[in-house]
Parts: sequence; structure tokens; C-alpha cells
Amino acid sequence: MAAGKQWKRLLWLKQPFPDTYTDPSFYKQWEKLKIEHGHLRPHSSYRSVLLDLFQFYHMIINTMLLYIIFAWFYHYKYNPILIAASISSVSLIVANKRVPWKSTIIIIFAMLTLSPVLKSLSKTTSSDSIWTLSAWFTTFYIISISALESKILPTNILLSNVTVLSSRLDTSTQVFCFLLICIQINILLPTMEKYFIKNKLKFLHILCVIATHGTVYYFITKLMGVGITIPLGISSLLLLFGIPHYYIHWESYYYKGHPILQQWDAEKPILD
Amino acid sequence: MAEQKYNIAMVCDFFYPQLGGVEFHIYHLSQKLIKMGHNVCVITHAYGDRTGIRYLSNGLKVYYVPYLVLYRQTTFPTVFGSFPIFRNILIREQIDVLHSHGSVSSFAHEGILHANTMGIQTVFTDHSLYGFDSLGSILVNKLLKFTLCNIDAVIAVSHTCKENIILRANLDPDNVSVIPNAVVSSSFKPRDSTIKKKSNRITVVVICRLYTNKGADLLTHLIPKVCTNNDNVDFIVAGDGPKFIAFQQMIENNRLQERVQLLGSVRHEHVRDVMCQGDIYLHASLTEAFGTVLVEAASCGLLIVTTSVGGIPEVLPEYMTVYAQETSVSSLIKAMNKAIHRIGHSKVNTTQFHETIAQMYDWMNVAERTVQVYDRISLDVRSLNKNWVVMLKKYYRQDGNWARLLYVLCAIVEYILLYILEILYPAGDIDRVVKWNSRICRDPHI
Amino acid sequence: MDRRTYVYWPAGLLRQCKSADEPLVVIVLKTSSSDPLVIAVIEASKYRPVEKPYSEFGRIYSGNVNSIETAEQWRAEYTTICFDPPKVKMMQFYSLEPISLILQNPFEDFGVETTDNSAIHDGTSVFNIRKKWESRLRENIDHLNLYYQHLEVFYKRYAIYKNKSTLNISITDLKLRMRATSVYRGIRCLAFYGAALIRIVAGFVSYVLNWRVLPLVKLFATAQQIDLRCQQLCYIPVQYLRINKNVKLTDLDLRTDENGSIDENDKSSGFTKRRKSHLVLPKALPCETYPDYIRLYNTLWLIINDVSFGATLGTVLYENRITLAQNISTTLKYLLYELPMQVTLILEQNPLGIKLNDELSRFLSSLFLLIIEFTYTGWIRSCIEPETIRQGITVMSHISAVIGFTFTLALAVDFLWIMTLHISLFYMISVKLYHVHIYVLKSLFYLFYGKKQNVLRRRVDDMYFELDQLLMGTLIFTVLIFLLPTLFSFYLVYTVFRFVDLTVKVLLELSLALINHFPLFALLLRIKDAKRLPGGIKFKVYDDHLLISNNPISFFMTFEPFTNVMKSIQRQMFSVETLKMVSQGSVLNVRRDELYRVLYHNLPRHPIDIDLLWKKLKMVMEQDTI
Repeated sequence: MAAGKQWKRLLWLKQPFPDTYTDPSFYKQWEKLKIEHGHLRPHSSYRSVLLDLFQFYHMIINTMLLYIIFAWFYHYKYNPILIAASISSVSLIVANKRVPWKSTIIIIFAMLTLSPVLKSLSKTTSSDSIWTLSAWFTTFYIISISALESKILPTNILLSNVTVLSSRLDTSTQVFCFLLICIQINILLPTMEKYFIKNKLKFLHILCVIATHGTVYYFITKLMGVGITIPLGISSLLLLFGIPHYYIHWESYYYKGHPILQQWDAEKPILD
Repeated sequence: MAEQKYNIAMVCDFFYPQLGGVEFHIYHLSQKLIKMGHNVCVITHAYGDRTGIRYLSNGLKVYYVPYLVLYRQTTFPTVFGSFPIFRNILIREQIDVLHSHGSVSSFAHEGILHANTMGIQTVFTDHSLYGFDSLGSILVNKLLKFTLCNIDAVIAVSHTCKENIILRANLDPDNVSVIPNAVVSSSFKPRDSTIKKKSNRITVVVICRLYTNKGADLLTHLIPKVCTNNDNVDFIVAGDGPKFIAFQQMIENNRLQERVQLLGSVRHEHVRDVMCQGDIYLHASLTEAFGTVLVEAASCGLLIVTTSVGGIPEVLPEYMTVYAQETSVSSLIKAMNKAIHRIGHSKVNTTQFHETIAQMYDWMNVAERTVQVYDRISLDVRSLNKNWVVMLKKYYRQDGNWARLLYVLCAIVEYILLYILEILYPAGDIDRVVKWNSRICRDPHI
Repeated sequence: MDRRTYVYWPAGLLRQCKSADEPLVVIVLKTSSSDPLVIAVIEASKYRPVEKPYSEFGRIYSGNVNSIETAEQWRAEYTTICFDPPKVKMMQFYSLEPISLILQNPFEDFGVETTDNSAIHDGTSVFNIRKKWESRLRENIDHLNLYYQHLEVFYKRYAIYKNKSTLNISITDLKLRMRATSVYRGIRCLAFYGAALIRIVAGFVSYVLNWRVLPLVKLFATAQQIDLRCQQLCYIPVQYLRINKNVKLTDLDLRTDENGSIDENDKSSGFTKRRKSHLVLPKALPCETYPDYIRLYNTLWLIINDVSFGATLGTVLYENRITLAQNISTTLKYLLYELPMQVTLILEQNPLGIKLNDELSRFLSSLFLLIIEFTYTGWIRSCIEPETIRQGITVMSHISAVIGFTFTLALAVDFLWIMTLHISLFYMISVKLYHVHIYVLKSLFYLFYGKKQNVLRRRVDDMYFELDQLLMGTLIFTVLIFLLPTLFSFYLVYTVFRFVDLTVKVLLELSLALINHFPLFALLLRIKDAKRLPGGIKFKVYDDHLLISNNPISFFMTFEPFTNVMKSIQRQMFSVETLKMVSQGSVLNVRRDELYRVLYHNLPRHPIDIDLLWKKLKMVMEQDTI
């Protein structure tokens, strides 16, 4: 049928081909796709998945610091002022360029004023409810910080979590110090790490990571004994190294970025 | 053999009073089919108090079936829930061909399933492209595989769309026709050429719903840059959507109140008037199966600047368009500059666009090609096509260990339901309608 | 114009024709804008040609009405429409629109309809044709209504056709003779000065009550009741003049403000247009004053009813005053003092296991307890003592017997209002707190998401916030979120109180309104003679001709003001809108003046000017003496 004419992939042109005519090059692509299915699928490298997962794990550990500090105040009744002062001075040195003075002072005074109020907010609620609430807040915090681009919502959830917990503390001073420390740690620690990564200070970064992990695990040991720490550590390691395999196994069913199939995806807008 | 006339049922969730690409397609196609002597009725869900049977121009009968609307005028998918009413309508109207539209319309899917069960020929037209990556499209594709398993013919609006649906629903390419959309060129006439434009300003028109996948983000970044680079360019943006505020803010932040007109949503009958105020039509969509609006704009004598995604490159000849190579702001700006240069130096003659488009795209042509599809499927003497066992086998041959069992289960339930309905409401008791057009006489004995 | 001719025949004449044997000449009245109306049927032997506007329609032979030999200017095609001539003296008439029982522009509905139809108007000429037909029909109806007057005028011009006198002279004579007596004069003089005096006193009282600086009417139901009576008294002379003496006094400021301005054109198609008629023909259409007649007698009847009602109930109250006082006293004490106190105390102690914030709930409850104590010791205690209540009941029963039961009811409403002042106060405090709370929460919630409400443009903008703003916002947001349940529980409880309070008051006021504005007279008229309350016309096919007859207004329509009030109350108090208002913290209120405004429709907004009334009354007096 009209062999002399070459078929063109155009709709506006009236061509002597039937409506059901299929582009031969498409057949080729299709064949390729059928053979390729499940075999030569490109997948992410194990290393990159592992690193991503580790980052997530690290974030959870960072979040745990909040509970450690809470335990200091609530369970061990440490002197809050000492810890707060030391961490504040550290953070002053580290980050005095990044956060303007004005807002620091405003925040501190606001917290000072509000800490008695915060303390009494959920006084009538039973402790169990508070723990549950706090656990949910933490879950949402981790989800939001890993899923959302903006940092506003995670910060707000964190603050709500801290507020809820602070009602269990005894004095307004404790509440104030707790708030202060939590904000500093959760804002400063990630900024610090980012700074290290940006300036290629790998050693310092690793040191920082080890320090946080060490602290968390030390406290877990101290609170619950070695009997809990070792299984916990082993299982987290296993998960850490096991999940990437599982992920890569399932990735073969995932079509995003597929060289052939992606041509029908909506394009990403490039806002340059 | 004399031309056979069909009783056709168009099934889709989207129809008048809602206005959009699919809706206009169904309407114009039906009108032309009626003109050719076929009988057409449309089955859609009720819109507000618009329920029951209504007639549109030339006796186009519309069944507005009361049904639960889930999200953006899509009905709640129940698989079997619509069977009684569908069976009743299909028998009542003595339907030969059931023609469904749109892959996100659950009404369309259910219609195909029921028609297949009742042994009626089915045709499906896809109007949009779907990726393979998101959860939503995976679900839609699974559903498509189920319903299109026993379809007689599929129509795609562009080659890209055709390949897309072949991959999504695992179809036989010979069964998929490409029939593009068309425009009513008489309602998209260019502005009166006798009235010369006084100033040398160039107006760029944008008409689209302001969603992210229509390129709203690209537009909000692009418009200020084009405005600062070219002092003689104005914009008219028509359309509404979630990004409307972003456009407002863009105008306020860049102080472009004098140069960018934000019209909000424009009624379809005024689209032509808006288009005729401009010289260039800008289209920044990120995905597009056909792009009817491009054809409309070209018909109004506008030079088209567009991204080259999906089926867009197939739609218009090279000299009517300036393509942006990628969906980036810089690439679009490059294309815009080229177009502005061409218009500014009168290097392109847009006066002939209207005539050319009128020859290229015509609903009558679309209708004729669609009827060819109907002819093909009704001529095909594969009578086993609608045999229940054959259909069951086809369901079972799908891939997906669990999915195919589910498909088979659904089909069997459907068959049982048909028997139950036959007992409750025998087909003989259902009145046959008097057709609007008396020329058609289905029974050969009379 | 090719259309059928319609001939309007009085039913009596038609019958007369059918029974006659000799040839008859049919004489019709025909004006340019109306269809022929059969005025008289005269024996052919007596007939002499008549001048315009009368003309000969045709001749009837041997009583066969269906085959009239029409005169040459009439085309053969015609349809007979039979009608019963309405006895205007008996206040019967035909009308295209339902008679208006409330004082407002009678064509309000019509006006609305035309604006609706304007879309059709543009497109087709169907509407124009319809309008033309309607105006023609209106003209015809006017002539039907004036049938007897037309007849009288006709007989005056052509006295030869008159067979007997229709006027009853004796009564007129008697009236004239009576007017000459000095007793009558004295009474009339007294009535004249009495009317003027009443107008002055009542007008002044009404003015004081409506005083702009302190509109007592808006505060107290009693004041409202007094004002209503005063305005009615002021209006009675005006109505009297209009009905009996046919003196036109324009009602300044019709109460049509709610319906917006009414198109001038539509007005002119109404009654006002009817006055333009042929010079030779009778023009004053007495039916225009009939609504006034109904309204006046309704008012008078209601006042009398009210007093007789009051006398009965007053006696009952008085006889049972001791037991009543005892019961009311204990009930009120429980409802107004003990119950709020108990509820507030419960709220303080974490009710139903709901964890409220201690500090806030203690603060709020002590605030409310203080208010309860203050109001209770301030006035409630002394007011609800059995002795006081007994005295109150005694006074009220007397009042009720003398000036009507409505006043007793109004006093009760006011008494309740003062007694529940503290509940209103609680409600206002809690609603304000809650409203502010919700408002701040909403703004902070936007901040939570990095957005900001743009008040000027009424939309939500994206916004970049500084770290300190964010942290402060979040801190306050958290605090407010934790305080919300406490505040909400207080708010909810007092809203329920308020709601019950409002319901009781509204019920009382509704019954008050019902007694004040019950369309008793209209209802009785409807039963006695439905032709006096036309609500449109209808045509019936009757043998070979059409029969036009009255379509009396429905019972439902007589109660229209009430259904309006009920709907407005339902909208304000028992709708989804109300729930939304409660959740948003907007103040729940029933505007009494709004509620009443519908019922004031029977009265003009301002009483008539004293000078004008004086002049008109004097004029009438002088006319009478002549």
C-alpha cells in the first residue's frame, strides 16, 4: 500500500495509510522492552541506597537526643542550667554568624515568659497520654522532615512535641532550659553537619555522627542495660544493611526514569 | 452493500454542562454521526439537578444517570453498581456500538464491561497520556488492562497516545486507530484582517487551566523575564486553577499590571475573542496527548510557541509553530524570542492559517474515520469475540498472578448478575425507544 | 390585527336574551384599548343609534345568542366571555393580582417577575406580545369591575332605555336628614377633635419610643407594643378618610425597603394606570381602597379581641396568683441561679473526664460565678421572691383586662429579658473569647504552613517568615491549641444556655405577634364572600362560551407575613448556617426589630403629618355640612 511514500508521524498530513498503521520503530522499541523486562533493568547502586538509608537512620538518632535530654531532667533530675549554659555557649561559638542576635534574644525572652504557661498547659492530662502524644509527634516529625522540602512544618511539630513533654517537668527553669536545648540541638546540629559536608570536612562530620550515636547508645545502655542495647544495635545494623537489598529487588518494578517508558511521563519543569 | 447505520451509545463521566476537551469531542463527534444518519445517545452521570433524559441539538439524547460523584466529576467506581441501568438503557436504545471515552472515567470502564457481557461491540477512545511511575497511573493502568481486555477497537487521539495506551493496556497495535480531535473552524475565525493593528505591540495569549502539569510554574517564571527583555510584548492569561494566586503574586511582585492581563476562567464561546486579541499563543504544558487548544489558536491565526511534549509535534505543521526543545524556562524564552522576532519582522504570514487548519481538521472527517472503525468491528466475523468463555480466557491470560484471578472473579459475578437481572427485569419487558430520526429502520423485515 | 374578538357578556343579560323572543339589539362599550363589553340589550323596535363609545354590536333573533348578526364593523369571529358583574358596593371585584393584605406595593411580585424575564425579553418578542395582551386584559377587567357604573352612565345619557330606578333613594334621604340634626353635629365635632388629639398624643409617644438616641422600641417588647398601638391609632383616621371619603393620602415611605426599588414601569402598569381612562366613563375604581378597608377592620377587630382575651386570661391569672407565684419563683430560682452555678462549678472540675486546663478553667469559672452572684444579689433575688411575683401577676392581670393581653405578654418578655441578663452576658463574654481565639489560631495556622492571609485581597499568600517569627508563632499556637478545649467547653455550655433562652423568648414574641397581626378579618371574609378577596381570575369553558370567575386568594397567602417570619427565624436559629456560626464564634442573635418589621407592614413607617390630617379632616367636615 503506497509503498513509495514514507510514513510520517504527523496528524495534520493526510497520508495513504490506514488509521491503524503503527510506526515500525515503535515495534522495535516494544520488542526491546519485552526482552528487557526484569533483566537488564538499571538499578541504583547499593552504596547510594545504603548512604540514603543511613542518613535516615541518623536523623532518627538525632531526634532521640531530645528524649535523652528529657530523661536527664525528668528522670535523673540533673541541673538544667549547667547543661543549658554549656550547650548554649557551644552553639554561640558555632553559629553566631548564622542566627541574628535580635531573633535569638526575642526567642529567649519569649520562652522565658511562656515557660510557666507551657508547664501548666497539659498538667491535667495523664502521663501516658503525654507519652503517646509525644511518640506520634516524633513520628510525624520524622515523616515530615524526610518528605517535605520546607523546614517550617517539621520545626513546628518539634516545638509542639517539646511543649507537650515540658508539662511533665517540675519547674519553669527546667522547662525553659529544655526548650532552649532542644531548639538548639535540632536546629544547630543539622546546620553544623551541612556545613561540614559543604566544606568537605569529612573527619569532623564523622566525628559528629559518632558522637551523637555514641551518646544515644550510651544512654540506652544506661537506662535499659546492655541486654537491650546489643540486640537493638545488631538489629538496626541488620536492617541498615538488609533493607537496601530489598529495595533494589523491588526497584525492577519501578518505571521512573526508565529510558523508554519515561517518554510518556509528564516532564519536569526546569525553572532556570 | 448499503452503508450500515448504527445505534451508538457514548459513555463518559464528563459531558455537558461541564466543558472541556473530552466533552467537546463527544458532542461534536455525536453531532456529525447524527448528521450521517446514525443514532447517538450519551450516557453520563447526573450534574446537580440535571438528571434524567435531556435532548441536545439535533436530537442528541443524553441520559444523566444519578450516581455518586467522587472527585472532579468522576463517579464512584462500583464495577457492578451501574449494571441494571446500563442494561436497561442499552436494551431500550437497541445499541449496536458502545463507545467509551477517557481512561479516568469510571463510567466509561463500567460501560465497556457491561456491554461486553451483553454482547455489544465496544470501542474506547483515550484522550490523555499517562505515565508509569505514579500510584494513580498504576491504578488506572491496571483498570485499563481489565476493561480493555475484551475491547473490539481502541481509538487514540495521536500516535504518542496510541503507543502509550498499547503499552499501558497491553493491546494489539493493529486494533488501535489514530483519529485526531478536530476543531469547529467556523467558530475560530481569525480577527478581521481589514482592521489593522495600530501599535507595534505584540500580544501573547495563554489559555490553560493553571495547574502544575499545564506548566503554570514555567509561565510564572517566564512571563517576567520576557516582559523585561522585550518592551513591546504584552500577555493575556486566561484560565483558573490552583496556581491563580501565584500568577497574581507574579504580577504584583514584578509590577506588570499594565502588561499582563489575568482574565480568570473564560467561557468557551469567548475563547476565540481572547485568542484574536493576540499574535502569539504560548503553550507550556508538561504533558499533552493532542492539544486541541493549539489547533484552535492556529485557526485564529496565531503563531504557536509550545513545548514539544507528548503528541504536540504531530499536531501542527512546522511553519506554524516554534518549539521549545525542553521544558525549561530558558528554552521557552529562546522560542519566545524567535517567535517575537518572526512576528515583529513579519517573517511569518499567519493569514492563511485558518484556511489550512480548516482543511486539516474537520469533525466530519473524524466522524467518517470513526464510522470506519465501527464498520471494521461489525464486519469482523469473529462471532466468538463476545463468547463468555473466550472472554474469561482472555482475562485469565493477563499477567499479574493475583490481578487475573480478580478479573475472572469480577467477570463471573457480572455474568451471574446478568442472569439475575434477566429474571427480575426481563429484556422483553423493556420498551424500545422511538428513534428521533425516522430514516433509520433497524429491522430488515419492515 | 388578526385575532379573535372577545365579547364580555354579563351573565344576567345573557339569560335575559335567551328567554326573549323578539329581535334584540346588543349595545357594547368599546374603547381603543379594550374589548367590547355588552352594556345593554334593547328591543329592536325601541332602538335608536348610539354614539361613541357605545356602539351596536349586532342583533339577536329569537333568543339565539350564538348566531348574532353582527354589525359591519365587527368581524364574524368572536368568543363570548360570560361574567358575573361584581357588586362594587358589596366590595366584590375582579383582579389579576392577589389583593394585598399588607401595606406595600401590590405589584412587588410582578416586578420581580419582570426582572427575571428580562433575559427572554432580549431574545424573543414573545414576552412583548404577552405584555401587550396582559395590559389589554387588565383594561377589560377594569371595565368589568365598573360594569354597574357604566350602566348608570349609559342610562343617564340615554334615559329612554331605562326601565326602572335602581337607586334606593329612601336610605340616602334618611342619611341626609340625619346629618342635619345637632346631635350628629356634636358627635362629629367631638370625633374630629378626638382624632386630632389622638394623633398628636399617640404620635408623640411613638416618637419618644423611637427616639434615635435611645430607641426603647428596640430594647423592650412593651415599648414595641405601645408603639404599635400608637401607630395604629395614628393610622386609623387616614384609613377612615380613604375608605369612606375617598380622600387620597399618600402613604409616605411604604415599607418596601427590603424588596429594593420597584421599577417605575411596572408600577405604572398597576393600579395607577387604571386611573387613566376615558373622560366620559366612570374612572374612580373603588376597589383600590378595599385592602385598606380589610386592614382597618382587621386592626379594630384584633384590638377588641385582644382586650376580651386579656380580660379572660387576666381573671385566670388573678385567681391562681398565689400558686403561680410560688411555682414561678422556685422555677426561676432554679433556672436562673442554681443551674448556671452548678454547671459552672462542674466545668471547673474536669467534667466527663475531659482534661481541661486548670488555670484557665478556674479563672473562667470564678469570673462567671462572680457575675452570677452579682446579678443574683443585685436584682434577681428581689425580683423572683414569691411576694414580688404575686404583686406582679396582680398588676399584669389588671393591665391585661384593661388594655389587652398583648401587653401582659410583652411585659413578661421584658421581665425575662432582664432576668436572663447574666446569661446573655456569659454568652457574650465566652463568644468573644472564643472568636478571638479561633481567629488567632487561624492566622497562626497559616504561619505554621508558611502562609499569610492577605486581608486586602482576601486570599492566602505565600510568605517567608524569619526564624524568630516562626518560633514565636509556633509557641503561641501550641499554647492556644492546648487552651482551646477548655474555652470551647465553656463556650458550648453557655451557647446552649443562650439558645434555650432565645427559643423561649422567640416563642413568646411569636405568640405576641400572632395576637397582634392575626388576619382574622380576612379569614372571615374569605369564608363569607370569597369574591371580596380576589387572587386572580380563571376562565372556564361553559357550554359554548367562556366563563370568567374569581380565583379567591388561598388561606396560605393570608398568613404570608407569618410564614416569612417563621422562615427568617428558622434561618437564624435552626439551620446549618447556625451551626457554622456557632463553630466560628459569631454572635448568635435574633434581631427582634427585624422579626417585627415584617409584621409592621400594615402600617406606614411614619405617622401622617398632623397638619395634613387636620386639613383633610376639616375639608371633610366642611363638605359634609354643605
